[in-house]
Amino acid sequence: MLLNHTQKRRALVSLTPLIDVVFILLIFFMLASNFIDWQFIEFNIGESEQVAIDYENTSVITVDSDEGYSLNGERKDFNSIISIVRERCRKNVDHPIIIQPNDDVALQSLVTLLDKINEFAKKNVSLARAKI
Amino acid sequence: MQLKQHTNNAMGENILPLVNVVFLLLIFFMLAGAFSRPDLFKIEAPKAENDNAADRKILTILINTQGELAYNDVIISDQELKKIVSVEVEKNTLDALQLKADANMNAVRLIDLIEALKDTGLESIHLLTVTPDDKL
Repeated sequence: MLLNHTQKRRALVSLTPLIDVVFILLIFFMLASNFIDWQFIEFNIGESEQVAIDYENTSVITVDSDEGYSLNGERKDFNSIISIVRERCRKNVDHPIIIQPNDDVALQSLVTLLDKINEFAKKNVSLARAKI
Repeated sequence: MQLKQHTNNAMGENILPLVNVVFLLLIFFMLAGAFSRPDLFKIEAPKAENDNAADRKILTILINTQGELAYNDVIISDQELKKIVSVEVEKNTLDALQLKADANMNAVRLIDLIEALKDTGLESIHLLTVTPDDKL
């Protein structure tokens, strides 16, 4: 008789409120969690200085407002610029590269270029303001 | 009477796997998800394929599409940023500054900032990026 009574009480405890709470917690954690994996591109600013550019031995890459790129003033497509500069860096490890974004260039165009150049040249890459 | 009890039991057994899966999902999101406060500006970070994992502990500055700066949920000017960075560099608590900039921001603004921060004694700036969707 007593056993029967306990069974009746156990049956009264419902799982539904527990499931409700767990669902609410689940939705909260799904919305509040952040899975973005941040990376970074490093700019060293300590040693930067103003020097005259030796255009003969430097790759000057200009990022134009229409997301096009020019190498030493000559309009070329992105991949050929990268392969030319990669070749120059292979011949001379210290080959200087200067990146000049024009006015109204979106940061994404600059980052795309920097990201590609950083694959083969980490040092000797500098940012410069385009000539006005 | 017996039929009714049978149906009840069957119902109880059917939701148990669901509850198990929901519990597992809950535990996954609790452990794997990192909480973060919403930023002052909605920033669409530039995409890049590099593999330097960003450190969350250093000073982070937000820059929106218009080039406005924000630090600790307050909009600040370039001069205020220089002051904050100088103080941190003097205290020796800052090796690098993290810039969380919008991909549509003017790239020349980045050069302006680098030039402005040159004489603060800061050594490097980290521009935060995210992995492109097709490389995930």
